[in-house]
Amino acid sequence: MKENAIVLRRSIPALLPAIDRFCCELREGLLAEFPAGERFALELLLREALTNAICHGAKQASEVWCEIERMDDGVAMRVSDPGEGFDWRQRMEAAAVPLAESGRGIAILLRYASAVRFNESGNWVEMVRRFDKGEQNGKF
Amino acid sequence: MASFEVLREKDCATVAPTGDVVASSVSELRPAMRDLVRSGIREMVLDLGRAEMIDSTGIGLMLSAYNSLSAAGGKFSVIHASTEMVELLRTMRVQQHFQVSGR
Repeated sequence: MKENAIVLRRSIPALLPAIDRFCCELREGLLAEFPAGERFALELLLREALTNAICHGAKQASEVWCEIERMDDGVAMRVSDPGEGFDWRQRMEAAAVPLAESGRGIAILLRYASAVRFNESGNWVEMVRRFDKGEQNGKF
Repeated sequence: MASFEVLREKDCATVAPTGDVVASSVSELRPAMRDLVRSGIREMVLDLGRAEMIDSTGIGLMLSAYNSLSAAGGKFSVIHASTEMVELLRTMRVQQHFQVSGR
């Protein structure tokens, strides 16, 4: 059994291009350490949570925060912002209207994470993705 | 430098982003795609061959293009999507509205 470890803790400027720079850095570094079949899902989860934090949470704030924890059988990623949060309970229950042009961020979190957890106010989210044992191939 | 290329042949336009179709790039892609629809094209193809990632904002852009073209009697499709993108679009049930083909 390996112990869980925080492998990244970072503040990110509350600007959309900063997400791209952050994810580009992750692709060349941390994400490359994870099984190839997991990288798209991990980046997608992070992007959705960061975009939500920047567009809906940060408001006038200059930064949001991200933390990535390596687990024995997957990854836990946490994103928080200094905003007032949002009604995540309602959003988690609502299915996106088929031809709606927005409203799929939470659906993606629920689909691609093994577990999603918000704090009471909704300005902190934890996404846990557990890897299929067959995809680890001893790389982790 | 533009983050996309456009190839127009008669009433069909192929839009080829040079990178990811995500929240940061949609703000540039959306007005360009809207202008193409308003110019009277009947078909738009989004070529994802050079994109490594799409997200919910990118999916929203695709549905926006599909909605606009459908209303005008036109057609929208996606080509050269990666395996992961095809799976995401299938999971989000947008493939039932327009054609998505892989690489």
